[in-house]
Amino acid sequence: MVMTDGVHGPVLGPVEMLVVNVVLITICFFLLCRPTHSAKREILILTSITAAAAASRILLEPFPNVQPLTVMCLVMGASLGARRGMAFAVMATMISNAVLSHGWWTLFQATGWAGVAFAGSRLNLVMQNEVAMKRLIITAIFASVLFDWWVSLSIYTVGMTIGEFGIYLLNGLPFDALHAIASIASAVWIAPWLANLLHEETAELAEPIASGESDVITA
Amino acid sequence: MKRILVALCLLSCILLPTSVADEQSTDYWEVDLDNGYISTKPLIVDSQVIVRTSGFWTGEDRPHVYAFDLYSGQENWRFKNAASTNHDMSPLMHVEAGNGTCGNWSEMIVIGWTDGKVTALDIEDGSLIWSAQTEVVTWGITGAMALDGDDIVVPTRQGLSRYCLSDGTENLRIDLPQLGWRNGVTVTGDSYLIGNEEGVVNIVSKSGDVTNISIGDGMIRHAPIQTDAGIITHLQKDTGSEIYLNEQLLSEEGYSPAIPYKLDNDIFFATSEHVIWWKCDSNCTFQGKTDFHANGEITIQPNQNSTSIWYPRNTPEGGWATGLPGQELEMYTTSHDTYTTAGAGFGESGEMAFGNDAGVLMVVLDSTDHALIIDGKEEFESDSEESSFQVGPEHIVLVALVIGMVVFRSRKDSAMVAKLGVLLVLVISIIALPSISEVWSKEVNELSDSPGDWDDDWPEEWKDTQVVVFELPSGEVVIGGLEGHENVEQLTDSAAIQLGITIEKQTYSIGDMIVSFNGEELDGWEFTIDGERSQLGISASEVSEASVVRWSPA
Repeated sequence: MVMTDGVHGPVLGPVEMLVVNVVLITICFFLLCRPTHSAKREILILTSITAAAAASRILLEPFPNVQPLTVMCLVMGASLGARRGMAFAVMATMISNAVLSHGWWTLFQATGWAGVAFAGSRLNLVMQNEVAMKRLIITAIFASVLFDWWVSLSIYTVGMTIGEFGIYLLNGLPFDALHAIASIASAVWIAPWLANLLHEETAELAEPIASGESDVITA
Repeated sequence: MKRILVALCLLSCILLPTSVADEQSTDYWEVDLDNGYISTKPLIVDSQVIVRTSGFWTGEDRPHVYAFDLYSGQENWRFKNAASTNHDMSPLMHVEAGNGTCGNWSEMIVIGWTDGKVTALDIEDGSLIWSAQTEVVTWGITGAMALDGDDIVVPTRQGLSRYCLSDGTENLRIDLPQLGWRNGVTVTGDSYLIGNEEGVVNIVSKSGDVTNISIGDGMIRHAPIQTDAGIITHLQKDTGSEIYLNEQLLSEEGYSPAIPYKLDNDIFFATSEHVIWWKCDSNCTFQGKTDFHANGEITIQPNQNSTSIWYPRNTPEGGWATGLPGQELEMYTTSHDTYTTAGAGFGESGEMAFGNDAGVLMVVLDSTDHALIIDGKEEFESDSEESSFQVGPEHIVLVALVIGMVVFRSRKDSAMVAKLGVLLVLVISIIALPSISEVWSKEVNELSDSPGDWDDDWPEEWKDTQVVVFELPSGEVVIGGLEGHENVEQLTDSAAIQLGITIEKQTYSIGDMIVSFNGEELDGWEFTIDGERSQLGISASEVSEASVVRWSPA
């Protein structure tokens, strides 16, 4: 049962909340269920960075719309690929929203950041461990604003005119700008470190695993 | 991998500290509770201030209950109810540690929520001691609970429930036919009194038998008051309000009555027009009234030799008045004044705690400092946000960044200079955002003020006056030539009175909302100002001297 409306759209009843959770977790499952050479290690890496990203979001909550997660999604998508990057985005959103507040908007935030991660995987933002900084910054600016507008759709309800929604988006432009500036800062400060870290960790995973017989030289 | 784990641990450690009040001086602190209106009185219990928020209806936040250290403003704990429906106006209930037939209990805060939950929290750390669920009919609990020995009596949306304080076991449940709103419960020697939206006082015996008194055509939105003379109620009506002794009308009063307060035999009332004083011994006698606009909680401040009565002012000017009805009131104002329904909270040693729709908790530790009690529009001495520059953490960060840039510049490390420069821009943006956002929002709102709603068939003399249109099912009714009204609520009330249209309202944390015109609820009513929907409630939506307000079915 939809109980009431707020700026982030309807507050969901228990059944609807369950549906949202099941959808998001199912998305994560299918994104992550592909077998890998070293599943345990990869899961540990992904989990650690996801937890760190969620924690950073909670930490920065007092600063309106300062969201390093946007750039992290771009880098994760660029470094680990679309599936892992999108899974990272959905999980980080769900975990952080468990503290910040979970609801209808989580669906939009999770899909928004998953879209950002997907974009990151397709735009050649990271080559080996080198970040294409100029391209990343431009992408981050666009991604930040588009993400905000996408999440704003969560407040769009029946009876709201396009004009009213436009006014809502216009009111939010200073916040969009701040998101973009914060993303530039994140790109400059976090992206190279994160890309390098992921490169090191995933490079180890990619090393060939010895198999078959080998000659043994004995003295 | 190690680096990731280390970074994660560090981040987790940083997350542990929570919000700290903005200290202003040793005698005053304040803290902005970002997630909601303060609609009920903050409690001062020993060395803690406990306050609840009722939700702003904006952002992701939901109502909380917070506990702060009385002297430092440091947050001790917080409790969030994510399922609350944002109208949490049931006053917090402090319960001393004790024991009874159903067990022992520690000192606790009991909270009634709009999702029907009752939660008992340990006062020391906010941990949940027990929880119970009551019915929800759009809303759950909105009225004042009451203690009855080792039980707590909870007024629910459509009845009342009684719980053992030790473990929350329900030992009495009464379902009633009428819906209640802010329907506080009163405990008498042998029964519980509870009002409702149909003007009926239900008298529930402690064994569960129900009788009732029909007071009148209106709503009882407070705990009925038991006096030697009988039961006192302040009935909210479409045309104002009425004070009753049992079924006997004592007086007709203004709109939107406040929650009356009984102090011995003195009973204090308030409306949008007056604060009123009656004394009820074996009979009730009128003592006096003074012009004032109060719709929320009336509270008392115990002093050494006397008691002061406080009234929150529910107008854009806000603030609190103190004094006796019939006499001149003294205003107590702050820099955060706005619509206010929360009563002022008082401590045993003269401490005072204030909160209002701005969501800022303000605590004054020394109320004997008379310089803080002031007339008119002055502000707390300690709220010197415009009087002088104060160095804050953000300024230190800015200076550190600039120094860092200079140092790296001297080392010809242009990459680091650029990185610090980006951080500098970010910090400046964060600092400037509130001001920029406010100015921007005004500009945007001006953009949207254009449509207009003038009808050329209306009389010319209505031009540049205030006009109200009611699109009733029976046809459109219009009145113009009105003037001097500041917001949609005032203008609508005035127009309705002149046209003989009855209005039914409900009071929420964001102000009053119109439920029906001439008894027609339909699917709700919405209004436009000069052809455009307002983002605000009827009391917060300002009108100009040439505004057209149009009411139409949703």
